[in-house]
Order: sequence, then C-alpha cells, then structure tokens
Amino acid sequence: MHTLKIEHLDVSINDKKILKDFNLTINSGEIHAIMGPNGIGKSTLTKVIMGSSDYKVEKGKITYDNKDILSLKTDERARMGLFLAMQSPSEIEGVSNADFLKTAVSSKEDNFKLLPFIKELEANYNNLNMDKQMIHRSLNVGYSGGEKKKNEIIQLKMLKPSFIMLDEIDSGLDVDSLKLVGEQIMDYYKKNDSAILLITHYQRLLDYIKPDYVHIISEGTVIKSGDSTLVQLIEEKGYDYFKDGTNE
Amino acid sequence: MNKIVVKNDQIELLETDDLIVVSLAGDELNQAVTNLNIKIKQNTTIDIDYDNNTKLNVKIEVLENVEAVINEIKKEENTKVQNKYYLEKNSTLTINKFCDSLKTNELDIICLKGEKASINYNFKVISKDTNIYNIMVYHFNHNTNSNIINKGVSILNGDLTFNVTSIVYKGIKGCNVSQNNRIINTNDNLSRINPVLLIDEEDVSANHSAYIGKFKEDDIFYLQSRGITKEDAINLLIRGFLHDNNEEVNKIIDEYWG
Repeated sequence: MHTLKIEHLDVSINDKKILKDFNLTINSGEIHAIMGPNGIGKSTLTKVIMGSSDYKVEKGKITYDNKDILSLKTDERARMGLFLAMQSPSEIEGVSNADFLKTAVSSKEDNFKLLPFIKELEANYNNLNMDKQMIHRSLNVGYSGGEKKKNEIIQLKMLKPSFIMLDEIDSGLDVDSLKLVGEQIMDYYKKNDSAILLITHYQRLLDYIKPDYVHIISEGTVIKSGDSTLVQLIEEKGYDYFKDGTNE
Repeated sequence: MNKIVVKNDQIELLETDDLIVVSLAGDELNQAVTNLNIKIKQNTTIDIDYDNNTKLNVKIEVLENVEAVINEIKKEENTKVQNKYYLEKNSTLTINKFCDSLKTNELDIICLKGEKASINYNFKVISKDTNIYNIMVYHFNHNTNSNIINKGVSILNGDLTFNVTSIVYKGIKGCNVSQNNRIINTNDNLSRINPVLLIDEEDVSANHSAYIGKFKEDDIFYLQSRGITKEDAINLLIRGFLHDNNEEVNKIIDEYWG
C-alpha cells in the first residue's frame, strides 16, 4: 500500500502563484482525475510532484509513503516509484529508445539483465501496435503525437512505477489508439499495486480509465471533488458552473 | 576502399582500391610541412586516421561525376593541418570528420569548382584545450551545394571556435548554402561560432543556425523523470549529440561518456 499526500501546497512560477493551499491524498488502488479549464495549474501539479525546477514550492509538503519528497531530486522520486507520462515528451536526437530505457531500467534494478529486458521491450512494442524497429530510433524524434503517447506508456510498463501521473495522455491519440492505450494502462494498474492521477479535458479517456474520484480545479485549488458522476455534470454544465463552489 | 594513416608526419597508404592517386612532397617554402595530394578518380571511400603531432597540407581533388566519401579520425596531441578540397563538375564529396583534440588550429578550404558540385561536411569534435576550426567554402560555379554541419563538445579546459565562411560571387546562380554549428559547453570557458555568409548574388538559397550552451533543462528533466541521475542524463545527451555511424568514433565517445 502506497500513499501520496499533498498538504497545503503553494506553488509559484516567476512570482505568479499557480497552486494555492492545494490538498490531495491518493492511495494505491485509487484512480483520481483532475479536470478543469486551461492554464489553472493541472500540469503544474504533476511537474511539481515529479520535481521540476521550473516551479517554486513556497509552502506545504508532499509525502510519498510518509517520506518528504520535496527534498528529493527528480530521479530519486522516479526511483521511489513515481512516473509522469508527459503531455509533450522531449525529442532527443541520437539517443535511441533502447539506450534510454536500458539506462533508466538499470538505474532502478541492481540485477539488470539484457536479454529479459529486450524480450519485455519487444513485447510492449507489440502490445501497443508499435513497429519494433522504433526501438532503435532516436527518442521521440519524428514521432507523431500518438506515437509519442504510446512511447510514454511503453516506458511506464518497463519502469513499473507504483504512482502514475498521466498528463493529457489522450491528446494526439485516435479513437482506436486511445482504446488501446486505455486498456494497456488499466491492465498494468490492475496487475500492480499502483495508483493513477490523470489529467484530462475530455470524458472519452474516462471511458477506459474509470476514476474513483474526480476533482475540479479552479484558480490553483480544488473547488469540487466527487465520484465519476461529476464528469457527466461537467460535460453538461461546463466548468463555470462550479466556479463559486456552491453548486452540487 | 582506401586507408591512410598519418603518424608523426609519416604517411602510410595501408589499403587502396586504385581508384585514387596518392602523392607526397615536401613543402618548398617550409621543409617541416609535408604535402599529401590525393586525386579521386572514381566513386570510392577513403579512411584517414591521424595520430600524434602532425603538420600537414592535404590537397584532395574529386574528379568529374565522382561520388566520394572521406572518413577522418584525429586522436592527437597537437596538429596543424590545412585541407584543400577541389570538386569538379557533378562531383559529390561527403566528409565525416571526428577529432578528439587537445590543441588544434585547422583550416579547411573547399572549392566547388565545377557546376553542380556538392559538399556534405559533417564534423564532430571533443575539445580539451584551445581548438580553432576555420572552414572556407567557395562556390565558384552555378548550382553548387554546400551543407556544413559542425558539432563540438567542450570539456575539461577546452574552448572551441568555429569560423565558417561561405562565399558566393556575383553571377554564380542557383547555389544552396547551408551552415549548422552547435557547441555544447560542459565548462564555463568561452566558445565561439562565427558564421559568415558572403553572398553577392540574389539567386541563392542560404541559411545558417548556431547554438552555444548547455543542454535544455526540459530534456534533462525528462530523462531524470525516468530515474536517470543528472550526471547520467548529461552523459546520455552528449553521446546522442555526438553519435556517429562510424563505430570507431562511437568507441571513442564511449571512452568518455559510456
């Protein structure tokens, strides 16, 4: 059982406050969806949890299994089991997917063995309908939006995190790919003692990854939490409906 | 396939397919400098390996309609080399050049003499001291093409300068001129890129890009978010930046960052 706990978190960038008194607790076996309009701090939240130096944590704390992670480097957080599937993954010329993942997996596993690694990598490429030749191509270079998102999920499955953040993983995916990615994530989630924090604008991803909790963010803080029925209400009423915090 | 080794001013032709003509001569004005002349008669590849202190003038001629590749690796302490390349009509020369360098001052002069002559110049360097590379490209004829790509990593006490000048004279039409220069500094020493495009003709396509600095923080964050330490992330990025199709080059890179 793992727990990520965010308490009274204030975050700013260039003196502009993005998150204000933000609170959230996520346990293993739970799927939380964060929803809200553009530019209100959804992606900021995932990057702060992952340790991006772009943001300044002014107040509050984030713990994972009761350990303060704000003092840890990004790679240390990743090795604890945190994973962020990014909205816009970096393109890195000259670094092949194989080299990158070999370095990443071997940094987590003391007893790294190349042959099982290659077999598992190839199986994951097959599962996501990706051409195995892409294993040897430069990381995300020349990939379509959908291929980049699938590549993020391959990394997830190889690195076996316990806390998964999905930042708009649905953008760039066509209907069939979205279903496939959703099923692969849920397959991993069910087989592992993990938790999911996902960020999305649209209901369609939630058809495959069904959240236990839905949180609406406005102006850097959670203004409404509920179960998956909240998603339908958002679709019908829009985010403005919840802005004053009084509507049910 | 041809292989030439230059070591302590001695030049050895280890392997040849007889599609090139190699000649040697002392410099009449400066006896300490050796002249190496290579004439490429038909499509072929030449590997040139440099080792240790060298003072050398190299003249390479690529004859009409010939497509040639020169792979050059320099692992040396101090060298002073001047290369002159002359390309005749419809010829294409691809130069893949790699230097693992302490101190170098080098001048490459590329003369696109014949119509539709093309040069692809791919240069990579690891700089551990003061390294200056001067590259002059003369478009002497119509529809000639030059694509110059320079990549350098400055380490230890290294600093690096790329002076790249491309010249198109008035009346020389239909040329394509491209320069792409990038230097990654792993230290705080001053590196320089001086890209110069001297174009005296309107019917020319010319562009250049230049970058000096560190790797992007977003890329380092991305790699770290997968559990890779910052040091390993930078090593991975340098290996990617310098990665080459030549395995011998990759072996040298791995010695530093593998």
